[in-house]
Amino acid sequence: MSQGRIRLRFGWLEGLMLLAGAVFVSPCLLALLNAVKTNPEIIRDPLALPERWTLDNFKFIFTGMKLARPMLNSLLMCAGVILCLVTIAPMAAYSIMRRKMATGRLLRVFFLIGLTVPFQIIMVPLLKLFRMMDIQFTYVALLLHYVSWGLPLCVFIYSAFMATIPRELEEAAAIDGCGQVSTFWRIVFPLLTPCTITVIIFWGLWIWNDFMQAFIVMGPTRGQLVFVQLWKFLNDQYVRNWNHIFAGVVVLSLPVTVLYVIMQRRFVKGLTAGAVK
Amino acid sequence: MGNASTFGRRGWPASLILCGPAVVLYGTFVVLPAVLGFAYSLTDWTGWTADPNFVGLDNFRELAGDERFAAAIRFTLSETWMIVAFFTFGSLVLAVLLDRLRSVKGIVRGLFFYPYVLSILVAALLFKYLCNYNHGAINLLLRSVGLGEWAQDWMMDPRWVGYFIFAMVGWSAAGFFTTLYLANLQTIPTELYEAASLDGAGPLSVFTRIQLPMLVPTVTTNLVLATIFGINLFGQIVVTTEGGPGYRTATVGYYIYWLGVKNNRQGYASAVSFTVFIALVAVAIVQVALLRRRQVQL
Amino acid sequence: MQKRTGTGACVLWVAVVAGLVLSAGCGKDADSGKVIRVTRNIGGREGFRLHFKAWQEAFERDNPGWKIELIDLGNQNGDEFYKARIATGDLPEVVMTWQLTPMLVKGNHLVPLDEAYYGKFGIPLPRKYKGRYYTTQGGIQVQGIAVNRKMWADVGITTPPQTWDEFVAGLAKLKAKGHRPLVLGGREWSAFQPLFYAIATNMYDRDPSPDKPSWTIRRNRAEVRFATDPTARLILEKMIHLLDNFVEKGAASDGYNEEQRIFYGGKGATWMMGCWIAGDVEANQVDFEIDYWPIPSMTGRKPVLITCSVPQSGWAMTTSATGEKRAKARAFLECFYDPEVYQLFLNGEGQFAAASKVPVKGPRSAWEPAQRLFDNIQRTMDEYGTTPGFHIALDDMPPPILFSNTMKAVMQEMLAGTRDVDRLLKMLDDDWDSALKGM
Repeated sequence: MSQGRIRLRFGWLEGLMLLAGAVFVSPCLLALLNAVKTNPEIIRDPLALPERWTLDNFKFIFTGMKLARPMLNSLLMCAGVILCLVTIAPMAAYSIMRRKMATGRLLRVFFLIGLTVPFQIIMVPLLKLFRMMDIQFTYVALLLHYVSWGLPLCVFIYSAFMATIPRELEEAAAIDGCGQVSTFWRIVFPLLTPCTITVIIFWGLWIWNDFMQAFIVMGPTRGQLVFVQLWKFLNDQYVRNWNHIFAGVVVLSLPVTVLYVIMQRRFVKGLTAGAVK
Repeated sequence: MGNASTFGRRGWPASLILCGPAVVLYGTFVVLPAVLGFAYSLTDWTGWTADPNFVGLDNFRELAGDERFAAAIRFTLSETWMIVAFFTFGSLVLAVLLDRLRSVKGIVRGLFFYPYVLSILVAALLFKYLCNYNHGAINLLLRSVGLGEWAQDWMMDPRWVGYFIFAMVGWSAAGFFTTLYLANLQTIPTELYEAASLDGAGPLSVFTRIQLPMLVPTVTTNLVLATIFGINLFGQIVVTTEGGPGYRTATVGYYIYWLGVKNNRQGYASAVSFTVFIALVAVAIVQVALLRRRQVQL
Repeated sequence: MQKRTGTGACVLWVAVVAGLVLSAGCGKDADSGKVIRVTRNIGGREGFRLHFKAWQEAFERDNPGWKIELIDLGNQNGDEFYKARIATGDLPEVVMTWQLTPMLVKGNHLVPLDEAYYGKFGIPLPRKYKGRYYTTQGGIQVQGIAVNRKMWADVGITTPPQTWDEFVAGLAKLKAKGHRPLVLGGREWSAFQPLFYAIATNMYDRDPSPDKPSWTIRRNRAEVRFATDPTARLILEKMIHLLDNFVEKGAASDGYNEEQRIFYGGKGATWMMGCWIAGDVEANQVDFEIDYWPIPSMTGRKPVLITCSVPQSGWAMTTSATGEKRAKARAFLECFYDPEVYQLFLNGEGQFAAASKVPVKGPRSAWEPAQRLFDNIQRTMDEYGTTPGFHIALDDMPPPILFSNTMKAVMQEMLAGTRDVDRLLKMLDDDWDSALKGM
């Protein structure tokens, strides 16, 4: 399929699918539309254009909902977890793939089980464990949880990728006198870059978007991550104003949306990598 | 993967460094709690008083007769089967259609995939808003075109709430599963299509004879993923219906959460979650075994 | 040489990760010295906020160098928060207890209040809990039926119906005239109100005494059950009739906010809600007349208001207040009865005074419709009296908190169309038994 030609083939199927796609994302457009209206207007007619465009709702996000600090916290948490994952997981995957058959398979199964475990099962004992370690309801605890929770999938992704890397390079390094750890970092890791990018996108997005696990692990008051804050705000039943809610939704989804529009292909590849073998 | 490790037996300290952190973290914060969970299921722990008391298998006996647990299982299964059907077959059809596009493919694919990058909280809020009986966009739209009698309480009416949750989940992840199919479709060699067009095959034949058989691996993957998706429904319920109306939309995940966090019965909640875990592992094993046999046959 | 680079890289990595982890941990609350932390469920309610501000100012004025930190629990009931804080060993120094007093006392988290405290302000001694007293005035609230006077007058009814059937007949007349008879939202906690009213006024004694076991105690001993109690069956049948006929389609979608909007907007005739709505009237600029009626009985008793006076459910000191903080926490609790502060408390909660030595009688509002409503509530209380319903004593309450969840779930089931009374009764029984195990 040549990509250089300008293709202007736009038939009825293209039109239909474009329309279908637009309808599909219309709820998001609705949120965007209503984020610049006042609450009474939304109640009166959610589909109408705003009479007066107002940015007050967005102001409220930062003054009333106080979402600025949580945004920073979420970013830090993403960075911290990703850093841990892209260092710990490939090392483990490397070690697993380069082992004897038996122990390698044992380790792979060990990590594979983690993929099917739903969160509720470990929820309460985990909190108790954190309490015993005296780090309950702290960011450290959440970081440890996110990293541990993400390891099975990351190890799996890295293992799958690593199976495609030829061994000759490592054997050459071994002959040169390189230790196993050094070999990994200097030779294998750079080759894993596509995988690392996948992990960054996947986990960055997941942690930014997560609210349930953060809410439970950090407890009802200490949770200072973005969606947890939005969720707590919503639970405050007396102040449920749709305009504020939509503004919050728009603001918090904005970074992700922008990145998505810019790097769509990367995003999609990253997020589906775990499933495409 | 060779039969001998690359670095021989001398490499074990390095192995420890390489593998150690992962095993320790994962073992401590995932495996250990899971095992502890089983220990707690043998107690009557309320969750926040100090001492759990050993009660043996009482919790499991109660579980066997627990109607709300049975109802939660039924609801989870009914949602899961809808989700699996949609993500396995609906997404397939969509992917095939998308694959036939000649120009705006990227944009359309991007549009369908977009909801997947949004948080489930966002999806839940949007759907809550759309489906509200009095102020929701759907009903307002119906009323404005004179179809007011068709307006329903999409979220809290028991006839519709199952579909509401299904729609929310389906909307979020349809693009994801479609993309998986698309990736698979792109691996089909064009020679097959050319041969088919030479034979004069119409689009339907192309679909059934060429595309479908080649898509089987992804069908199996999607089936497993969709099942896991369905069984893990929890956050969405907390944000929208909270298990309501009554307790009808409590999935097993939500029921466990409710028992432990709101009903002060962590011991019992642990028993329920352990049972669910065993069931999940069994289902996963069965699914993988069956599908692997299928794949080999094909 | 290569080995050293490897180790160097390792060290660097550990340092970076540690740095990130530590910086992420910076979000932790700093430890503070002269601060007393207090919980309150402000949740956007202006009346509550004004009261707390005045209370805080009174304390800080009288105790220079000390500060009050508000922990706003929004509209939560606090149980999750308190559990989390107890697990952390970090309970605030002063907490609002609601019905959580038993749990907090069981874990030895509350510091008892001495009788002198109550004597100083002329507060009648609450019923002892496990032999001690713990809290300031908190939940002495009244629950009844708020009505839009004009709408009811429109169908010829100006005085409270004396029986449930009369009440229902009135609702039918309202419906026939085109008014929305009953404001009820099924989605949130407020769905349970009518059922709670019916249970509290029909199944419990009006004048409970310690030697006569309450329905709760008899139920806990399995001497009675919902399934076999004819009153319970009657109540559910009447509830089904109420919901079938007088609640709008789509009510299941409405929450408390929607109920407020409908009633304060003058679009609904009847709202079963507690007296704190009187504190809302001014904030919402409600300008029509609201009457507060007692709850008519289904079993031939007189109409009555319910005092949700969970005894000992106000603010209490916790064992977190050690050393000088304990004296200051006690000082804060004394500031509660500073006349200006107390007045704002009563205004915000729509409650009446319990402290006879404090020159404040009841809520006061400059917004005349609100003041008239306060007076109306007082008159209804004087004429019809109150019952504690099932809020008899702290150790004589249904499995706490949860039972309001169950009542809400049952109401939702009825709104969803369930007519099987046996099934609903079983729901009540099963949940009671299950919650009992969690106590």
